[in-house]
Amino acid sequence: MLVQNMINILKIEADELLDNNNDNEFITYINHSIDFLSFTLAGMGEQEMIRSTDIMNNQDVPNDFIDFIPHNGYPVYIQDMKFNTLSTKPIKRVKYIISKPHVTNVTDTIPFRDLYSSVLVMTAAYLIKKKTPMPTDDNEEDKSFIAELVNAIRVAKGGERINATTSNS
Amino acid sequence: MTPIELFAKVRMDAKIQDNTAIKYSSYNMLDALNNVLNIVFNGLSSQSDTIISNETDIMLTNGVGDLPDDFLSITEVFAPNGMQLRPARRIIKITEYTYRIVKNKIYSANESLHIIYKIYFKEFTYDTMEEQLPLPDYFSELLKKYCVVLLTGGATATDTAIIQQITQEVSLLTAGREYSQIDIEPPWRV
Repeated sequence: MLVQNMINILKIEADELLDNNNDNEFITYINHSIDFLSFTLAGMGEQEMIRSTDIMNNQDVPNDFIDFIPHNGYPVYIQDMKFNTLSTKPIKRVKYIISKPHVTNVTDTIPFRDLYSSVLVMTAAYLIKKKTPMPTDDNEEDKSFIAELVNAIRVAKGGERINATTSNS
Repeated sequence: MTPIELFAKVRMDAKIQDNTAIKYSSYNMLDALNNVLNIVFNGLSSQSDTIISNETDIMLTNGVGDLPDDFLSITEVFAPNGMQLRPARRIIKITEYTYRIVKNKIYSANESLHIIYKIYFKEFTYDTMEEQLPLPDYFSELLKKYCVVLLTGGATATDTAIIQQITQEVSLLTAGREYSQIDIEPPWRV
């Protein structure tokens, strides 16, 4: 999906609360939602967030590196943003979680599969509505729906469903 | 069976459930397997069966020869004429009827020796995961079971309880392996 496509959907979801001529504002919120989804999916071990590579001693840590997966699964440690293996041989097929890149132009491609576009749209819309001077009534409903969506993704990946605590307003 | 095939079974275990390989890396699995193999081989080395036995000829130069790299413990030593040699005590001079082992060398007054010995396994690495395990396939369930125990933190490789448990199961697997029904020879003659 292109950024422009997502902005078109976002304008409807966010009740057109932002200036329609300023796509950069939408891009900011889309990037926030990309970060949210990156952390969420990384915690579930989503394969889209995992990269595999061979590591040599004293090799630079990539910019998109978040953590090894599993966290304690390799004879490697990081010091001064370099990998230390204490061996001359490569440590093979080291898997690590990456962060997804931000988008900058409306012609960029969203760095997630289309399957996740609804989560990105809902999250960005929620953030937009939350920031407006007059909060909309359905903010809390949006937040609950996003939580349900994330729960569904977690269960689909073999995780356990997390029951949200309800509060009386 | 190879370590990779064993790891696939371990990942499917109900206590592991890691078919996407995000909970345990191949290095975690190798570590667990090498620990279990170490305990199994130590148990087998003290038994009389020949599962981990090997035999080879050693050429001696000036009465000294090198033991094989996988040497764990000696079982029997034979001279070239087939005569079995006895171990020599330290204060006794070595002859063609005796041998002595010091570190990785074997000493005897022969030109060559034929030895039967217990082997020690070479630890598996990432590059050797596709080589065959040095044990028969009927050890696979035992190896899988205790790899799961070590991976899930049920015990560490130095816990005496786990060592005893593995040694006992190895003994049950291999006891009487090489002896079919033995008829007891009666002490009297007819």
